[in-house]
Amino acid sequence: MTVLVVGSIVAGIAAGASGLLPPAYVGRVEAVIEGALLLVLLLAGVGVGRKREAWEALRRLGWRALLLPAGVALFSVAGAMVAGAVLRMPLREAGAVGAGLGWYSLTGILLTRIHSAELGALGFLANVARELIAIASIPVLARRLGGLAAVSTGGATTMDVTLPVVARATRGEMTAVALLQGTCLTLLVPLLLPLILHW
Amino acid sequence: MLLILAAVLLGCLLGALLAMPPPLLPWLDRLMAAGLAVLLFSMGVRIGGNPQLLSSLPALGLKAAVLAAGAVLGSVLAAWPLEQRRSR
Repeated sequence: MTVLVVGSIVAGIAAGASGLLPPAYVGRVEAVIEGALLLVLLLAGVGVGRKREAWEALRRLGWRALLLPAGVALFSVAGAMVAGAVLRMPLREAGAVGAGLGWYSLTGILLTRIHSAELGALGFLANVARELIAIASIPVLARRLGGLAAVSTGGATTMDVTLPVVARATRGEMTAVALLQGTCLTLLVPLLLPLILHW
Repeated sequence: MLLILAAVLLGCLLGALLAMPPPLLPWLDRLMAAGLAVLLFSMGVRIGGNPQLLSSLPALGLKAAVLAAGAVLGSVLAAWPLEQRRSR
């Protein structure tokens, strides 16, 4: 997964910088991005729809199940704003990057479209970094702090990429919680990110 | 934006309502990996085709790591009180 992610983006940057790509593709790159995104989102949706545990866990836990994703969304934005203050960048922009919650492809596209290519690139990279940090820290946090802290690091990615990591690190105990958090936050990102940027 | 939400929700419906034959499932994963590769490659092309952006990438990487660390630490902080209540 990491190889696919890093390899594709690095190859794309190199190919784009070389100027050797056929103009027919370069001219339509926005349309290609749009089409590929919709395909990936459709397939991600199929993944959630097939996992009925996610919805059953929601019914069993009731409203309390929503405390973790709500807290993670709020404190991801707040944490990114604190980091943004350290970096002396506008708080709305830093908060919007944090509101990506690890969903780098959508964050990159959204920020590029509603702000600038520069913030799009930063949002993309920051959320790739978030996913990598989550993958690396979930096993450690599960041992030291507990399953909920481990799940929280993944943000929206606990629905897909980091789900198997959580499942193994918590011996399956946190799988449903992770699925629920990932599902809620995945649905939240397209709403929360523009809201933080434009509030 | 509506298109994005519609795609996820349509996928959810398809996944919940259609019984996928098991031999099809690995192909869905492969299709998603291929779509992701095309998506990321094309996003890279857009960055690579923008020399101004490209030259700012090293500085951008450090900024990105700091923002990501802030978001992750915030998340762990949010989970902490829930974790305490759970273990009691």
